[in-house]
Amino acid sequence: MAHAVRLTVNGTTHAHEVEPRLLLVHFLRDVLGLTGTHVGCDTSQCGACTVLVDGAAVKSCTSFAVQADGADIRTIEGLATGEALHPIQQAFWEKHGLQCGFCTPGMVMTLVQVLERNPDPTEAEVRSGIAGNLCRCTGYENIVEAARHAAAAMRAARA
Amino acid sequence: MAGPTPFRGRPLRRFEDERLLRGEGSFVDDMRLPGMLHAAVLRSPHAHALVRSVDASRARAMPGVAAVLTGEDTAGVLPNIAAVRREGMGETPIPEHPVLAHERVCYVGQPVAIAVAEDRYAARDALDLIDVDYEPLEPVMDPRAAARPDAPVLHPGSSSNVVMRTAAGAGDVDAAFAAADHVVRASFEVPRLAAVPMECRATLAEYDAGSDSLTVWTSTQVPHRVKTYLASLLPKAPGHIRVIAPDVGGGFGRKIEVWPEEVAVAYLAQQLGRPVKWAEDRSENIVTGQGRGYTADVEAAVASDGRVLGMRFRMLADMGAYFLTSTGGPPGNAVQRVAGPYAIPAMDVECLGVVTNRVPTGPYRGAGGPEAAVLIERTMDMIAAEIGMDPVELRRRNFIPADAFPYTTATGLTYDSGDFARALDRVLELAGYAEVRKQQRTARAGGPLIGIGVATIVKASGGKANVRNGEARVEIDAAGHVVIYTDVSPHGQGIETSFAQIAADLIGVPPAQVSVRHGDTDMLATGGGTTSSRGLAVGGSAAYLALEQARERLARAAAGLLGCAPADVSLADGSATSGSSSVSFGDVTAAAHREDGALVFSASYTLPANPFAFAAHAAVVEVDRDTGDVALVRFAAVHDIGRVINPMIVRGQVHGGITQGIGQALSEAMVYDAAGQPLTGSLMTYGIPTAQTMPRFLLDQLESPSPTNPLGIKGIGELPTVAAPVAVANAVMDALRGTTTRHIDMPLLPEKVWRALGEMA
Amino acid sequence: MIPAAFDYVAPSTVREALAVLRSSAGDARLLAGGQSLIPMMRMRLVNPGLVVDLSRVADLAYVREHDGGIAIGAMTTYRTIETSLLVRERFPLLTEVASQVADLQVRNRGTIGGALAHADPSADLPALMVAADARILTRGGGRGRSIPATRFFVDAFTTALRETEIITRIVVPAPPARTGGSYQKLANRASHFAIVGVAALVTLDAAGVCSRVRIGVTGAGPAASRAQAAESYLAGRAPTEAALEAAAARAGDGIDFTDDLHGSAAYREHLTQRLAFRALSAAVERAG
Repeated sequence: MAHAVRLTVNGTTHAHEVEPRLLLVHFLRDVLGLTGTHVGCDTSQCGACTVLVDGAAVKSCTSFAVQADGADIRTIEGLATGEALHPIQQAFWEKHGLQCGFCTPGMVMTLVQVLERNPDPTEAEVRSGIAGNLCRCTGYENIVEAARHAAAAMRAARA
Repeated sequence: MAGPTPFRGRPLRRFEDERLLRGEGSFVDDMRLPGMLHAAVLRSPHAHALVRSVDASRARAMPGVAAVLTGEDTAGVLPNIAAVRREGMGETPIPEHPVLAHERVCYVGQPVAIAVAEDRYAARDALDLIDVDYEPLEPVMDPRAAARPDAPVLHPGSSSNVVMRTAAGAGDVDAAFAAADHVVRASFEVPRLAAVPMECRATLAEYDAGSDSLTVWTSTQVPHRVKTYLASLLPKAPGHIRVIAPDVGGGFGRKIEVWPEEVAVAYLAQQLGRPVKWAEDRSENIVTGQGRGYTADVEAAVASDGRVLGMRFRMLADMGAYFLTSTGGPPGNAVQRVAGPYAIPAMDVECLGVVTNRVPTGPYRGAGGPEAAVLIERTMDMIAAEIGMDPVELRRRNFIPADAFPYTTATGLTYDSGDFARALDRVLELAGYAEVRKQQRTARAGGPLIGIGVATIVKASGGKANVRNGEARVEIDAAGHVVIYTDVSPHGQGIETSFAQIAADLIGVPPAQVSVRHGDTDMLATGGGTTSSRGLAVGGSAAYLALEQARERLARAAAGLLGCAPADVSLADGSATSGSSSVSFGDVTAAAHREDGALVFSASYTLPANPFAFAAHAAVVEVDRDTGDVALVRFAAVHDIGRVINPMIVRGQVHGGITQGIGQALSEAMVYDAAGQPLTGSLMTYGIPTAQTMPRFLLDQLESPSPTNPLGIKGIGELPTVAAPVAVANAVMDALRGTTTRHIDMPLLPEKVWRALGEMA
Repeated sequence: MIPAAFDYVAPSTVREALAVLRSSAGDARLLAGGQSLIPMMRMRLVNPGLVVDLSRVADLAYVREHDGGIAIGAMTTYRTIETSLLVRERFPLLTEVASQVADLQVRNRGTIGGALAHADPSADLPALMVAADARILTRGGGRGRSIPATRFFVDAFTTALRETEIITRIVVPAPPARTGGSYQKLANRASHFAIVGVAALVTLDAAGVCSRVRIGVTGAGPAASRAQAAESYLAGRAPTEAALEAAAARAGDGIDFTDDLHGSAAYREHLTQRLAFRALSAAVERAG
């Protein structure tokens, strides 16, 4: 039985009829065509599917689209402002925080929440903030560097 | 005369990154074609069973289901996937992997049927409607038992479970043992690991009947190999098959393969006349994408001054139930690499490949190297303990001296260059070796146990046989845009950036004006892909040769414009210069274009011999006396990798390689129960490192250029993963030196360490 | 991994949810944060015909003062608990435990009621719930119940809840003055669940003697439980190292230790004792 959902994704409102079992990640990828959000596991470990639901980082493979009815969702595609990358994206580029790039969207979206709530995190705080995001390429060091670099840039922009 | 600053050696930001950061990458599962169907794979729940019947009628009748393919449908239609013949396979028949199981399944996870439906949900639902009647058989799980002559044979018609034998060695080993002051013996197990690339496998195939052309997008490291195999399996003229590796989310060796699912999906697209896509789940990926799996007995003959006089290695490699195309590769590497960086005059090494009821193994980052490193580097530490010498001093005494290169080991490897002692000294400095030793002497009773361990290893790059052949083509348009087509098929290695840097130094093109194209079999006739750390040493060298031709041509054109001899032209930083006159790079390419019509330069390159890179790693650990938990407090590494093109990319490879090695040391292992069921079949149970458990890395590098290739390159991709695991293991065993336990196999999980702690001397 | 099809309903009141449960003849599952349920459904280990989403039920997500202690709505996320100033002030150990659960994304979504009802034998929170004398308030089947945490966890993934009962609130009484608490766990390197976790709360009297001791153990056996032998040994004694050791040695009494891939029974028994010692020592220190 299909259920009507209405939700905002990256500022655009979408209304669809969905099967209750449709995972939020498949709604984003297969229904809306927003394929920047990836699926990396099936047990809620890897975080590649992380998006922001009402500002909170959520594993969209561990969430049904029906649960997001009425929600405001932000995905990696909605992060940059036109040509200008978000400071976290920019920092990943500068600090070589990605290799194959598959975990990157989820990693970046998690860090959006981490840095919003903690504008000047220690290295340990960054590492614990991304404990639910697995990366097999980078060994995390440059991701941590990028996060702290982005935090500094975001602080400077606000000052 | 001081030349312009080269681009080589600069930490240029990667050209690959922006679209990946914007979520605009194109991985296979991101792709959608009109009319596309989705596939799901039914896998064997048994390690070993007869398949009495497969009844797909209910699934086929399900609304939305386009087809269900079973082993009965493919038997006699799709041949088995032929193993690549390698040294050591001899005359023994090699069990080949069927595309879909027919009559028998030989491991948990083996594909039994494929359902194709309008969406991925329906395809998955259809699997529940396929009825398979299995008759379970006794599985063959223990490689040691399976190798015995009286063991039950896994494959009917075979005379033995030992299907492969590789060996290496030279010198009088018996004499070495007769002359030894000490003989050190040890047994090891190096468990199977799952590669866990963040992107699981995925394949999309489309068939155009009008032109009889099949296009396959697949998450692979070796598109040309996939093409070659599809051509022979389907069968189909190679000219009608195009294989594309789009963005690939990591491979680590387990995408150097031609998988049964790739063949089945291509076949179905052709049969159904509609595009078919399959995207693997993580649980499928873990139970199918595995490497390592070795046991070994090692003996070392040692003189009282620490010189190793001779060694024997008897290894067993768990090949799994069948040989896929790369299954036979790692053992041949392992038997040679046990020589390590040491001048050991007599060695006798043998590795038997044994079939078991597990998924076929294959190369996983290091591919025989990390296995060999565990054996030699743990043994070196045991020798040191036995004769009461510091393990660092023992290594120094046995190193191949810096003036001995090229040096051929007793296992037949010829090392090109290196300065092992220098790299080791530097890593000890970074890790604070002397300080840690002092700390250990003054450690308070009851506090954490501190250990420091080193590993010194050598790793070949460029692979063997035709993997050492590379191809490249350079095309330059009139406006000066350069396109480099390479047979390297990257997935995170930054090839688009480092090749642009090579081009910038050779022909003076600004790097941003260079496009690097890869991963498409229509671009080049052949290709080795990304394997065996061959990217720069082989692929980079091929590009270098093509670029050299371009330089010669552009220098001639520039000479015409500048009124000088070609030899007097310098091409750098976007212009051609002779003395005080210069013209822009675009002017030069425009002039050459006017004369030639097109600027196309093709090159083939064969790496004449492998470059050998060197790594010295040092780990400092604290062992919790109460729980056995190991905390990594410091990790230092020095790599000698010849010339460096982009140091930022190299550091990234090092970070990732060390981290995978630490995973092997501390948490990762595929565990099976006696019935052949994988107990670590998801990321809930198979633990890869997280940001929270990794330390910061202390790094340095040396550059002993390799004489084997024009760029002086030695590959970095696998090197850190070879050294890191055993450095950590040596550190933990150093922390446990007060116990009676000489060795613990990896992963060094807290319980194993705690058990060792209970045996305090 | 894709779940099997199911029907879905998102009631707006507990009464409505209970009515759905009663009419579904055992084929329904309650969906709270879904961080355990959804992976199990994706694996098709759990295939309910009906999913009852509690996220739209009004007034189930809150942290409030209650008799000097705190009352937490069943649908309150770990993240809300972790960042609640009231929790930090009244029961800092709960802040500490909540922040150690899984990862940020799971804590953003996972709820206290869902976690308790799921009763994973390796979950962190149950250890503290039993140690803190928490009560689990439910509705369904008459007037509703107030179940002590110590009687709530029956077996692995099995609780005292009836099929037609919903957790609405968790009440955590304030510990007495001069109480210190600590949670010590050894986490599994893959799942990050506790191989064993021990929560200890120690209250000291004016003379520095342990007047009240509570120890909760998770991961060791099939269900979280109190280490009563250890508690009663230490109560009335001065917290000397020897007394703490002797108490810790009793921390595993009565536990039917789990023996599996993640740890043998002998190892879990050892961990229970050692982690109890650490938790007690740290709790005493904090009770200061």
